[in-house]
Amino acid sequence: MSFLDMISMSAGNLWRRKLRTILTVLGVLIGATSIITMLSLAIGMKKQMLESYESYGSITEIEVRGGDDMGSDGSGQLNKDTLLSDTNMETFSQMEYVEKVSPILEYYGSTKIGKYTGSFQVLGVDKEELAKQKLAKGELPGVSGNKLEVIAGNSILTSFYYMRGDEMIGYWDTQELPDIDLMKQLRKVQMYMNTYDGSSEENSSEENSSEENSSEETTSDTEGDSTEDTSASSEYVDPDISTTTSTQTNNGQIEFPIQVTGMMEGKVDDYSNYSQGLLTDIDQLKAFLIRKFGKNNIPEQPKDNGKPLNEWVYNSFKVEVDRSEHVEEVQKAIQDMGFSASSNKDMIDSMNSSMQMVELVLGGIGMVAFLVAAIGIANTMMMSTYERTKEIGVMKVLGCDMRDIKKLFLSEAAFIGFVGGMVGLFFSIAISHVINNVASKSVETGDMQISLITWWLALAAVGFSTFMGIVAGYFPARRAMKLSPLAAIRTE
Amino acid sequence: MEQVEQMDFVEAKEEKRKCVIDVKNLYKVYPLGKNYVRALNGVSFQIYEGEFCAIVGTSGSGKSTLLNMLAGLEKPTKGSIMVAGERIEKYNENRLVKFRREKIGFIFQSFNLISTMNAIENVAMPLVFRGVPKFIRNKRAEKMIELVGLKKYKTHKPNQMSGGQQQRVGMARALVLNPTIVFADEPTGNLDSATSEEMMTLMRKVLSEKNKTLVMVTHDNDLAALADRQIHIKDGKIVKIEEGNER
Repeated sequence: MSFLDMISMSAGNLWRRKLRTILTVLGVLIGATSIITMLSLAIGMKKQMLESYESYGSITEIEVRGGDDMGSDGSGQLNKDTLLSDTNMETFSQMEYVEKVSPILEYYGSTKIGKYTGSFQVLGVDKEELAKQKLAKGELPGVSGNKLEVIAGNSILTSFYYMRGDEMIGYWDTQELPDIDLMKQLRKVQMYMNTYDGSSEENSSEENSSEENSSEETTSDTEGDSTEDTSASSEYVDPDISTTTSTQTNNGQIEFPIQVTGMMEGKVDDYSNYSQGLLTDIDQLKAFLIRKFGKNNIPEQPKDNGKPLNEWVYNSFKVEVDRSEHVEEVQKAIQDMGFSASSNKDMIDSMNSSMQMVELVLGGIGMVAFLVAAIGIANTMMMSTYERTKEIGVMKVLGCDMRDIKKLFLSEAAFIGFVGGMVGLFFSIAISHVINNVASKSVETGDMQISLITWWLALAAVGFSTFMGIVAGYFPARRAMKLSPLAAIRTE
Repeated sequence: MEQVEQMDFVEAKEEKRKCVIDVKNLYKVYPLGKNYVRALNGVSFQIYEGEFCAIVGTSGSGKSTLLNMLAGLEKPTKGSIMVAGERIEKYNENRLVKFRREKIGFIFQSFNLISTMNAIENVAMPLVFRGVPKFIRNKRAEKMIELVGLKKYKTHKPNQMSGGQQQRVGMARALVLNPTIVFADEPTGNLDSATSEEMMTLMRKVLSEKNKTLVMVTHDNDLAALADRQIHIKDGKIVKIEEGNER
């Protein structure tokens, strides 16, 4: 029996009992709709959650921080293996699955504007990262001159406070933002800085380095002449720091002239990696620091036995991995090298497992309806075999292969499952639209995809529905197959 | 009803004719509660190619059981059946289905047409089971329908036709596979006597034209008298084989 004949014959048989077929299909339709809608909710919720996690930082990202105490073992000897140096950055970027490593330089500082004091980070990130930031107003930092050009995070104003008596009062207490225009009013930031052992041969080494480090030097050369540089450094460096002869680190505050060129997009309480800091291009920051302090005396840069290293040491690296499944492996490898590495992986994992529960529960609810529908199919097909006992007998007498009879019944059951699944899918799409519309109206952002029917869900649902039809039709089909051809002879 | 007491076996004279059915020592025993019923109790006979043979008996005589076994619908308890060159008594069901599909046509008492299909589709159905493409099978079915004289009714559904017409469709269906042997189980049982007569004449005509063997079961002696040979069965045994009118 050819496939086409089989299909047209089973469709004809189903059409013969229209009402019963339609009722059975209706059952499957409800089952399929319930399962698709439930799973679409689970998928939508998962996606929403993933998206919200992504705003905290990518899920394919590993943050690498230095090993023990930035590589210093207390004796002044540097352990260069675990230093977040350019060399190690290169090592990381050679690792498998790693797509990109970007360094971050960070400094802490505070500023006073009117009665308010704010404290925050100043972060140097690479150009690509900087370019990714969406600005509400202003523009991305250009080449810094005397002033370090930065953009300000959207929630930076929440870190401003003022003193009332002994009390610190800020945004979280009053829910009122200080009326500060950072682009106009933020002029300078007091940086808390540690300089490692200040060396006396500062000037000579600076000259040496000027030949090595060409690109940064050229920028500083073009921007301002060297006299300004030296005057700036002597002006801003706290005298306490420069005079101390301690072999350990010195603490102090250094004033940075700052120009805010742009404000990051987002509401004031939207959190992201950079929402509470000042962000700038890391190359500009490096150039700025060199210009200000000289190549060999940059604050926070460790020294090896009093000698400056001839590469940069960063506060952290951001390691981008190609796929989230590889995060754990790469993270482990980095940790084994002696660095501390963290990622959102754990968070994502726990989210995934809790979402799996939600999926199971929702899917389970949908499954119950589907099971009832499957029993409906089985019942219909069973009835059909009883009803068609004679017809099946005739077919057998006329030489219809037993397997063909089985296939005929199976394809009828599969047909019911398929049609029910298809119509159920369209129903679910409609329901999904309604749910999303209602949900979108309840949030201000106006776009809420609680229910998401992915193409694979659609495909799987129709496939599963068809499959369930076949499973439900199996026993009736077997029964039909085993019916005796003698039934055809009997006359009632 | 003619009661024949003496065991009057007639020797088959035409040895040269090809034997298409050869039954030897056939038994069929049904369990009925704790007892056993012998539906067939040692039956042996031959039927030759092109012959029109009637199996005659009252109800419960075992004639239908015999026909069912010849057509491979039932298995014998003991004995051998050779039909169209195949020993079918040991075949499994799948093999039997194949055997029927290739060698046998069957005409039912209650026509057994599929009510949702029209005459052509009904006739073409056995060809569907053979996997014959639609175009070819419809052409063959049409030819068969013309042969049984139902050209005008070829797109009619069974419920739009009289009993005689339906049985003619049934006949066309039995013949469409070009079988070696056609079995008919009380083919006129549901028809009035005039239509029966007409039906039998047509059946004879068509079958002898194609030199087909026809084995018919009936309880009607008048109908049986039309056959070349009558095998009378009573209580599971052959009581008489009667040569009828020679063709």
